[in-house]
Amino acid sequence: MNINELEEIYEKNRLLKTVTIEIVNQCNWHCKHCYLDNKKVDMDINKIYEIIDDARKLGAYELRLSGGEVTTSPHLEKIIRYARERYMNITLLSNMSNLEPNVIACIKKYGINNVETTLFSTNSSVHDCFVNSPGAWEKSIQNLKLLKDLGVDVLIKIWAIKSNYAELDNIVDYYRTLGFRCTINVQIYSDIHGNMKLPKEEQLSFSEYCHAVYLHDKSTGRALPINNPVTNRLCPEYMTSIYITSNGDVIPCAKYRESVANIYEVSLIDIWEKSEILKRIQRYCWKDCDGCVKCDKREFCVRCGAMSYIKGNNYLENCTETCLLAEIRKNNYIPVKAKETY
Amino acid sequence: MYNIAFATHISWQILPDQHFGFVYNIKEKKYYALEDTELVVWNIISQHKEISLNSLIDTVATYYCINSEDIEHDISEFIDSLFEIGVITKNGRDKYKKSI
Repeated sequence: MNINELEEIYEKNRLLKTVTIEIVNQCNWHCKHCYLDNKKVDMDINKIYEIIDDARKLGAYELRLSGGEVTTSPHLEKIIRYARERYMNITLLSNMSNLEPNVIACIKKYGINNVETTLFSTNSSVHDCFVNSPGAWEKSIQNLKLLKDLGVDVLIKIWAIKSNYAELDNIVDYYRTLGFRCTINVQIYSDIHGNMKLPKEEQLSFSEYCHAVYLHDKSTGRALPINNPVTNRLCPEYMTSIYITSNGDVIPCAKYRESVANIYEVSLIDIWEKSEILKRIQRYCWKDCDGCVKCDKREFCVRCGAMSYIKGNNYLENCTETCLLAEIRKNNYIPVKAKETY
Repeated sequence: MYNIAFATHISWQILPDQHFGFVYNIKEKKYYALEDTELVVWNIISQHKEISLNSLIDTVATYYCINSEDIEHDISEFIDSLFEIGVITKNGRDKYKKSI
């Protein structure tokens, strides 16, 4: 069987497939665009165990450990062991600059095969300056190579910013040559209050942004146009996944931070089975968005309701940035060039 | 005769109320569906850290109220196929020839 067949079963039966837990909210990097709060909040380890147990009962088999920086958690090894003993497939979202030997041993022993990381350049000084952490790039690369040698599948996500724009055309090839998967990302999100944290001097101009969108589609292999009938769910992933912040807020995804409930007050099983807010969010279709139903850009639109929520507190409202992305894809060059993948 | 256990590099799940399960070989990124008797066998293995082939056959036979001899061949074959796809170990060794 393939992953598409399995995803169809999960979605059709509204089963939880993937749970993401923000185990810490602190990081050893200080990126210019970071939206995390400064107040340190680590999730209680017993609560994490409880979430894993409940997630298994709800059908989940994928666990994404996120932060902050997960390797700053003193409990990371215990969490990995607990989850792997319950046969969860773990993905670590980490900058990998802080990899202690015990975590490496743990990754090896428990068969963790997925790591997702973020880099900002192939040039150490550009990267280190953006993350405000001297020596960060060198440490990350060293550890990522170590993981690759252990057979771990590493995905490097590059955020398109002014500092790396000049190398953006070659950056994916560079990391793929080193044996990593690599994609370019273009949407840098605001914090939960809608404030864009990325400094103006790092924001791309419109023409640069258009080109970065093209590179993003090329690096992810996105096929356009997209079949988007109005009866399609706005975000199918919401039917099968959930995100839990380090303070216990249960939210649909990392970007859509409308709290459904708090895990310290209600169990994950009760939230998944009984929360009307969650069910409402999961059910949203294109036809629920007045501005999108008759839009001639819909088949070029990868609408993210979280963006609308961040900008205007309404998941169903149009979002200027999302419409702009669809416009770029439709009117410029993507319909032809998207087929050209790495 | 040998002992059977789950391999290290797997993830699996039996879906609530679906009478359906699957095993995922993390190393090879491949999914395998488990249905009917396969699911019963998998469930029995999951209840043990390690189980001998004979015990497994006897437990399956008891579950279906049949003679062990009648299912010995089929169960052995199924276990061999699980070993070939790398999701179980025999006497602590997986198909990658690695002792765990």
